[in-house]
Amino acid sequence: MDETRPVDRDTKIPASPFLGLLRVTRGLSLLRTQGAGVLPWLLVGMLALVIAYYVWPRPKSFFLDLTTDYLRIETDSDTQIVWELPSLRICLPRHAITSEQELGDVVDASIASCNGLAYLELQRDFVELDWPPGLNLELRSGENRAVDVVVRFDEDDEDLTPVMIGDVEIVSETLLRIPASTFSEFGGLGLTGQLVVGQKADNGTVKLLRAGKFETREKFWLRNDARLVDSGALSLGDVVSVERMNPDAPLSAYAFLTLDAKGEGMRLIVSTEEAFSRLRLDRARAKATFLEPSWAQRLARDPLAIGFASLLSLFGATLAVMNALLRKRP
Amino acid sequence: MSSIQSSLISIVTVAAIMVPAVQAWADPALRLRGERVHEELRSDALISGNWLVGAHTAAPRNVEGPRLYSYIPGGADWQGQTLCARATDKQGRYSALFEYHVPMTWDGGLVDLEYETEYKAFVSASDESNNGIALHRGDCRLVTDDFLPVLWNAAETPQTDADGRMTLILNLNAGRADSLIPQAVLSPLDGAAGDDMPIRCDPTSEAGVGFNYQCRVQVPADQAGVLTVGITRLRYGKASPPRMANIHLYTPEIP
Repeated sequence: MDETRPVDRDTKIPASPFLGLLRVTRGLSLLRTQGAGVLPWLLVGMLALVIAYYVWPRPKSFFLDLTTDYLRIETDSDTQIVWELPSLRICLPRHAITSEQELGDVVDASIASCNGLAYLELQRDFVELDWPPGLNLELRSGENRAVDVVVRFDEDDEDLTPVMIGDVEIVSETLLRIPASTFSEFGGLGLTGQLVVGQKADNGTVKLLRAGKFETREKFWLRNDARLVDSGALSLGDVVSVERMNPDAPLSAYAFLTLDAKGEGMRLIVSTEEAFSRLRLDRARAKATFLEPSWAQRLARDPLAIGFASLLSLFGATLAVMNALLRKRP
Repeated sequence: MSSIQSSLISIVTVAAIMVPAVQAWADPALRLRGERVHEELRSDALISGNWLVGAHTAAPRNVEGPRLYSYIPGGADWQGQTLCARATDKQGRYSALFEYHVPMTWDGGLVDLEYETEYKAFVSASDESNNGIALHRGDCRLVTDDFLPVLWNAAETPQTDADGRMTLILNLNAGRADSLIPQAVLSPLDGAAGDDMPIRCDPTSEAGVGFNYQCRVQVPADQAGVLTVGITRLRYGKASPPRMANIHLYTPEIP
């Protein structure tokens, strides 16, 4: 050990976890050294600013890639998305039908997919579906790889125009069955609105999120592109949604839905706009958790910080080498 | 229970209601001590297996503290019986069980059911929209099919409309049903054929674990009887067998 090191010579400090803390305090005490000027203070101030910059929350955008049997979306007026469905079945709950409308032939009982006593089942081909805002859509993977959609809305809401599926005015709690062929004939379905994917794995729950991954992106100083700061995997039974930090303002997500290539439920990709938002994760019998990147993750993914750190360490190393080479030996 | 037995009981109940001095609405005739079997306010939700988790009579809100009233009929069906009040809030965080013992000499009328809670602030802020009470016959070990509507943090006099009908508000835990087919039949106590009552069930605004549907049934305010409520749940296009409950309506003659 180098006997000339002043720290070890002045005081005999046993090696302990407090050693580091002591060194910091000693370093800070240097700030009070006569004649040091403002430079050390400036350095401390800059360090504080840099830490504050990385700790401070900032707008994020999220990207999710999920395999799921269930999702729920509340439509909004953000985007007009029209679904062109080559064919679909409409199951109207009989007890809720009040309007007298001519519905045409109902599906024959032998090929009906819904309970005939409870539902009035209709078949429609080449339907253009334009979802109005204010609907609650519950999408589930159904039998024969169909996607079942339960449409709910507040029937007393006077602002809501009649919800039409082709020529049929539907009631709340109507079940639509979109066959698997839609996804090969028309393609994937786009959706926008407040989105929740998955259900809590409570006793008796059938349709769950199967698996997925998320990516969190943030913009850094002097850069235009949003960089990946955090990513991770989601498990069976997770309930995932993106919400604004201000819970009163809903966050509209865009989702693209298709069938999973391996035949396991629905495949969904979700992206959200850049906003002060967070990823919410609910699990059965647990409080909601929020997946937010830490300041250390931000620091580690910031090219500017990495560049500066490399430059500084290179500079420091050069100085040390030069110091060692040029110093007069005693 | 055989029909002879039930009609006998019905006759006894009618006699029990009609013979003694007629009770007016308001002023509870009796205060029953509640025995707290269980009470819990959790931070997470607990799934309950019961489906009818609240049966209430609509009445103006009363702000002072926990207040649980119910019109309990007299007669052999109710005299000397144990009743259980189950509280379930919308989120499934609060649950409570209170037992009450009806005296052997009970003639029917309004009863103040003591509700000594450890969570006074939470319970006082409750009403049927966020935290329901299901009061049923029998002790708290098992839920029976016989319920009594309660006035929960509400005034003693039920609200009635121009046609003299009052509203019952039922909180249901329909699980993950897509839709419900509700049915309500009011059978008078004399054993005559029942009449269909208008009933409407709507999902609550936020999907709750405690309850997620609320039904409103209009019943005549001046008719005692048994309201049989049947709920058929529809899920994945299939219908499950209906679940049934009997809600016993006691009505004194309005002065």
